[in-house]
Amino acid sequence: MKGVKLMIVDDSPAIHVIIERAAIANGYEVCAHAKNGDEAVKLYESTRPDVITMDITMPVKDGLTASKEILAQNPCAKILMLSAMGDEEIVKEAKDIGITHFMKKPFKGEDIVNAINNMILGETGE
Amino acid sequence: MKQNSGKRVLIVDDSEMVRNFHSYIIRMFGYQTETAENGAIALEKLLAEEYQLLITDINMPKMDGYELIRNVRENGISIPVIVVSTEEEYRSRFSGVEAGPSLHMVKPTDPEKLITTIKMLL
Amino acid sequence: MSGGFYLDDIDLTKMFIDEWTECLEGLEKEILKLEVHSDDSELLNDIFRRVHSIKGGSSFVGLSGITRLSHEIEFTLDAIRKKKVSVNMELIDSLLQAVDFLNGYISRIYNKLKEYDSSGGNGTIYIEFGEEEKEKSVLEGLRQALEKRENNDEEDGKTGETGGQEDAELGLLQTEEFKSKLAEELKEQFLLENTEHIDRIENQLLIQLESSGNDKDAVLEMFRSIHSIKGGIGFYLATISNQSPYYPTLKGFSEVVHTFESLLALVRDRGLTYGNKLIDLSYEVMDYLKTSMNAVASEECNDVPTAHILDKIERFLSNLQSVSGNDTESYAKTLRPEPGKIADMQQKSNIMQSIRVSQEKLDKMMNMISELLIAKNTFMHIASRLNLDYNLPEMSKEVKEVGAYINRISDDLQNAIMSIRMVEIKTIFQRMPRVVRDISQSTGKKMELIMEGEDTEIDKTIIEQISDPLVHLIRNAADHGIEAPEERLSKGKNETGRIVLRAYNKNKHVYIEIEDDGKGIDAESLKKKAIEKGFITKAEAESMSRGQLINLIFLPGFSTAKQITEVSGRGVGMDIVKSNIEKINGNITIESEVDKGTKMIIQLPLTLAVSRGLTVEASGETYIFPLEYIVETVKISRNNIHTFNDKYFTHLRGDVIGVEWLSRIFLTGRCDDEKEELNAVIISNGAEKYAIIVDKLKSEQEFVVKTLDGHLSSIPGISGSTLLGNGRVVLIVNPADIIQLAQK
Repeated sequence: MKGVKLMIVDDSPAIHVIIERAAIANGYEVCAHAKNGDEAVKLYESTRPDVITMDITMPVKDGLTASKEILAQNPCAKILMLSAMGDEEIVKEAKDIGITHFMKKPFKGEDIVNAINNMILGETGE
Repeated sequence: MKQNSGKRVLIVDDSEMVRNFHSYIIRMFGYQTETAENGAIALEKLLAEEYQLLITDINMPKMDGYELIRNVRENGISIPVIVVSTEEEYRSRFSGVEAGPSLHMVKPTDPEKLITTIKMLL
Repeated sequence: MSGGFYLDDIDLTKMFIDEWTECLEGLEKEILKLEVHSDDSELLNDIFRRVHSIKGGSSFVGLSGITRLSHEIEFTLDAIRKKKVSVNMELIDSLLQAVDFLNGYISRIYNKLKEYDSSGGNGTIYIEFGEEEKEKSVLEGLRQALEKRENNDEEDGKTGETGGQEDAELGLLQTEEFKSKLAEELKEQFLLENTEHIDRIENQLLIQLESSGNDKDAVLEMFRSIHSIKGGIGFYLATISNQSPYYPTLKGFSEVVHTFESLLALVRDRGLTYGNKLIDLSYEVMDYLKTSMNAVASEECNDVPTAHILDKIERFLSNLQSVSGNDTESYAKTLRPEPGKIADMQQKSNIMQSIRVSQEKLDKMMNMISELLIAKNTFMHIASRLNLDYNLPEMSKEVKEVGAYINRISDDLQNAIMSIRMVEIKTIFQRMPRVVRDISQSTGKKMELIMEGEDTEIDKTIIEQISDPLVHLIRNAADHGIEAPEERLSKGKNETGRIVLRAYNKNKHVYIEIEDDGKGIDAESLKKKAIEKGFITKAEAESMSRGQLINLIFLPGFSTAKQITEVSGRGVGMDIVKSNIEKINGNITIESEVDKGTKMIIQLPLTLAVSRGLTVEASGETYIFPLEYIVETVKISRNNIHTFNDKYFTHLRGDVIGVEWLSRIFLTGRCDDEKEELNAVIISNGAEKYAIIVDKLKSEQEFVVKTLDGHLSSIPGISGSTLLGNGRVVLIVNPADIIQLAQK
């Protein structure tokens, strides 16, 4: 699955590292790093990634709001939402706005890769 | 509560009373529960069927909670785990990272906290 | 590996630590602000986010200590957010303490990592901490702060917040109604599990420890069992309202178990010998626990006194802590067991169950089987009426066939139920070592108890009924039978007395024997005493055999002990033992020889519920004789009956046996019929035979015993009643009683 363009949205640099390591090892390209929702929305326009990993709890703008705005720009945007314990109410709301892919923290790099692969394959399969 | 009905929780404890305690509360919220009296039986169940959550005691005959979690993880089962034990038991067995459970709760379990925690995990 | 852990992804951990340090910065100030601005939701959300972030990160690098602590903080914050707790100084303090501890925890990891870097290592690092106590108190603080949370669903409902309904459901968990339902649900299991643990401690572990106080495995098992009991009471107590009448008892129970566990932990950790004093104390603790369990089980609300036993354990514990050594023996001088209220209360009831089916269900099933047996007999009755009264032989045959079919099914069913009801006699045998031990302690005698045939099975109801008589007999053997060591030595016997408790199956009966090698029963002194006390006349005494003389001890009010000792004095007389055994269709005989020992033989039916018997008629009444007491039925010719001293005798195959009319015994008629041939049932109580004359011998059939209540229960010679197929109630004769009555 080479050449997939990925944007990582997370306020934790360490999480960026975890995801990036796995992504690069699988031949993905990380086209953008955003540390909050506000940056994510802006970077989405300019970089147009294939897949976004989206944290939920972030300062300035949270992941749910950012996802709404991105989906408003492009209803087909592929967002993998990363939730932690305690986020279950937000997950419910996220499902309501049409997000279908979720990943629970803590995850391993390979989990993320598998999830992204599934998201991409899901599309070609349709 | 209906949305919980498809979720299966495995409760492991060598005391039937403690199993019933947890089962009774968790079922009230619509989850399905199954029980096992030690780690070995629990592992068999976990390998045979799919569960969404594991709740386990530490001190048990045959296979204790620590060994159970280690085995679960070694078999690539990545469900969340709640360990229910006394502070001392937890400390003596889980202060390391290898089998790191998702969460620890102190015996006797507070029913409200148990449910809140389960909701967080599922 | 206590208190330490390995870190393998060091770079990643460092990045997370940087993030956490940022999150923690200013967190304390924000929490302080919260004290005044508890409804500032933005402030609360920010605090929440910081802690949440630490939690999420720590789970990636496996720092479960941090995950755990931050989760607890988050949980508390969530409660504040949902207005389940009111913000007060206490709560803020415990939050601050937790955050402070978290801060320290993280900076310690940071320092370790720095050290590690400067030492130029790579790969895995092992980190150890020593602040467990503090962490514990921090967690405890948070938990306590939450304990006061209220259920404010109404408010939530009004404001219509999301999740309001779920919160309402959660609120249910705090209600008394829910708790009492849960308590009801758990009670049976709670009692059962404790009983099992206590049984095991008393009858296995303490016995093991007594023979070898250095058995480390047994000490460990002891600790585990107590630990399990502690865990169980914790859960159960959590479901009990502090207004409940059991609360004080359970609370006391919990404290005693807790303290005792600390004591055992000390013994285990220091590798101390489990000495006799500690064993004594352990037994006392078990007594206390049993008494408390019984109080809860029988729904008695009087509190079980706790202070005394608690004080003892605590003194033992503090003595042990203040002295160093490897024996528990030397520190316990001040502790003497004293029989107190506990021992008395313990006697009151005995609910200890031994199989995992509720008694109620079993009894219900048994009752249904009884009905079925009666219905089954009805078929045969109808069949014969169809033939004789209505002259319908074909029909009669058909009904008979159906009856036979039902008969087979009910037989199978009955056997199946019976097998469920059968339990190993072990369940009562295992109480006996304790009984013997207690007596040996209080009298200074040396004795051993040997048990045989513990796996012999017997009906559960019988087990329950036989338990007390058996304890009494064992006590007797130990207390009165076995001599003091000096006395034994002077008689040339082994210093240690020997009591054998043996069970076996023979001829569809279960036999239990209690055999001691003590001083035996002196028939001559019994005779003298019986005459003195006016139980028998001198002439009667002279005509009595040795066996008959020994059996005098079963007479009401007859006691052989020169003095009533503390141990067996609290019990009942041998007459009660005998009548209790007879109540369940059993019987007891004695063999004894002076200075050789005594053997008590108890014969019991395999099951109480269903028996076979012979129906007879006397003066127009129908009775049933249980088959197991019937030797044979014969016809006795009138001129073969002789009188002597107002008593009747006959010659039967060379024996002279007593004769009596059933109608005379029950005072329902006279024996003045003119028949030349008399129908007699020869019954035996194991020692003697007697011929009981009846008007008519009818049929042999199965019957289900129903015990008689009220004033009917005390009719001598009758053990119960049963229903016949034709719906008639008939009385069941108790042959052992009958022989006694006939001899009078």
